Amino acid sequence: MDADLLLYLVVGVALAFDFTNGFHDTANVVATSISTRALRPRAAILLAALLNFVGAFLSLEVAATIASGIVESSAVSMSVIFAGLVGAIVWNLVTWYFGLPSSSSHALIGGVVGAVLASHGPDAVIGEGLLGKVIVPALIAPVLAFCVAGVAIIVAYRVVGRQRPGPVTRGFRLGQVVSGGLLALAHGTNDAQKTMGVITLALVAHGTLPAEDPEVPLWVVVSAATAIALGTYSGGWRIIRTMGSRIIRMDAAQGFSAQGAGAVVILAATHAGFPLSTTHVISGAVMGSGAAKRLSAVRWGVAGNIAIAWVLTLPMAGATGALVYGFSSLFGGGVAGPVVVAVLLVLGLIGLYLLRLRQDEVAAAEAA
Amino acid sequence: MTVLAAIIDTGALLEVVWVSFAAGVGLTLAFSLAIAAASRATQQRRGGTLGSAIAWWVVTAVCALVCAAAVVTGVTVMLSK
Repeated sequence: MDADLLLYLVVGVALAFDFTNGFHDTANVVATSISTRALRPRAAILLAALLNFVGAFLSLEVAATIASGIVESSAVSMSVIFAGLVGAIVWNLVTWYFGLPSSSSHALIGGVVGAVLASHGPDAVIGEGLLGKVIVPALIAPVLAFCVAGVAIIVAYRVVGRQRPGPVTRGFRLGQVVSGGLLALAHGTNDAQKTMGVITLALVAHGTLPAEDPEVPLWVVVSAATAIALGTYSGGWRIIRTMGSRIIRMDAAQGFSAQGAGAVVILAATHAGFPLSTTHVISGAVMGSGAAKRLSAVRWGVAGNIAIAWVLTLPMAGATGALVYGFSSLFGGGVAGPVVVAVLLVLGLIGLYLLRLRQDEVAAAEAA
Repeated sequence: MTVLAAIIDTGALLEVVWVSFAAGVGLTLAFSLAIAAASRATQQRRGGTLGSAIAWWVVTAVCALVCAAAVVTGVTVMLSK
C-alpha cells in the first residue's frame, strides 16, 4: 500500500516537473519569434506546444536510469527520485520567478545528485561522469552557440545588406517559423524523454515493470507528452521577456541566426552523443547574434545574471534535493515524509500563484 | 589536461564544433542567399528583364532546397536517436 502511494506521488511529481519544464523552456523556442514578430505570441506558443507534444513521440530511446553514469544506479530509489524531482521543481520555479532561463535538465540532475549525496554519501556520486556529462558541456554549449550565431549573422548581413528591408524582414520571419519549429521538436524529443525515464524507473522500482529491458508503457508516453505540451502552452512569460528583448533587441535576421545556430548545435551534439542543454545553447546564440552586430547591443548585466543562475543550478537544486530527502527521512523510511513534502509543495505553489496575482494587480494599478 | 581528455570524448566534441559551424553558417548563408535572390528576381521582373528574373528565381529555388534538405536532415537526426 505504502509502495503504491509512493509510486503515485513520484508519477505526479514527475509530471509536475515535466509541466514546469515545458513552461520554463517555452522561452527557448518562442522568445525570438515573438520578439521579431515572426509569430503572434499565442500562435507561437500553440505551435511550440503542438511540436513539443509530437516531439515526445518521435523517439522512445529512454535512458534506463535517470542521471545514468553520474550517480551509482544502486543508489537511485523512489525516495531519491522524489526528492530530486522536488529539488528540480523548486529551482525551476525560483528561476522562473526572477525571469532567468536556466537548464531544467541540470536542475533534475542536481536534485537527484543532492538526494543521493544525502542518502548514500559522496561515494555514490560519479565525479568523472558529473564533470564529463554535465559541467564541461555546460561550459562549451553557450560559447559554441555564441560563436556560430555570431559568424552566421555577419554572413547574413553581408548577403542581404543591400536589399530592401521589407522583403528581407518578411523572409527571415518566415525562416524563423521553421527554425523555431525544429527547436520545439528537438525540445520535445529531449526533455519529455527525461520524465518518461523517471516514471519508467519508478515503475521498475515498484515491480510493475521488469528490471531487464523495461518497455515504456503508452500511458507514460502520452502523459509525459501532454504534461510538457500543457506546460509549454501555459507559457513562461517572464523568461520569454528576458530571452526575447532583455538580452538584446533583435531584428528578424538575428532571430533566424540565433534559432538556426541553436537548432544546428543541438542536433549536431545529439548526433555525436554529446549532451548539451537547450537553454544554454539558445541563450548563447541570442547573445552571439547581438554581440556580432555590436558588443554594446548585449545587456551584459542581464547576461551575467543568467550565467550566475546557470552556475547555481546544480548546487541549489542539489541542496534542495538533499534537504527534501533529509526532511522526508525524519518521518521514517515510508511514504509519510513524501506525502508531507508533496502537501508543502502544493501549498507553496498556491502561495506563489497568489503572490503572482497580487503583483499583477499592483502592476495593473500602477499602469492605470 | 590529460585528466580532462580521459573524461571527455574529444573526437565527438571536435565533430560537434565543426559540424555546428559548417551547418549553422551554411544554413544561414543559403537562406540569406534565397532571400536576396528572391528580392533581386522581383526587381528584375518589375524592370522587364524576364531572363534575368528567371535566373534569380532558379538561385532562390536551389537555396530553398538546400534549406529544406537541412530541415529534413535535422528531423532524421531526431528520429535516429
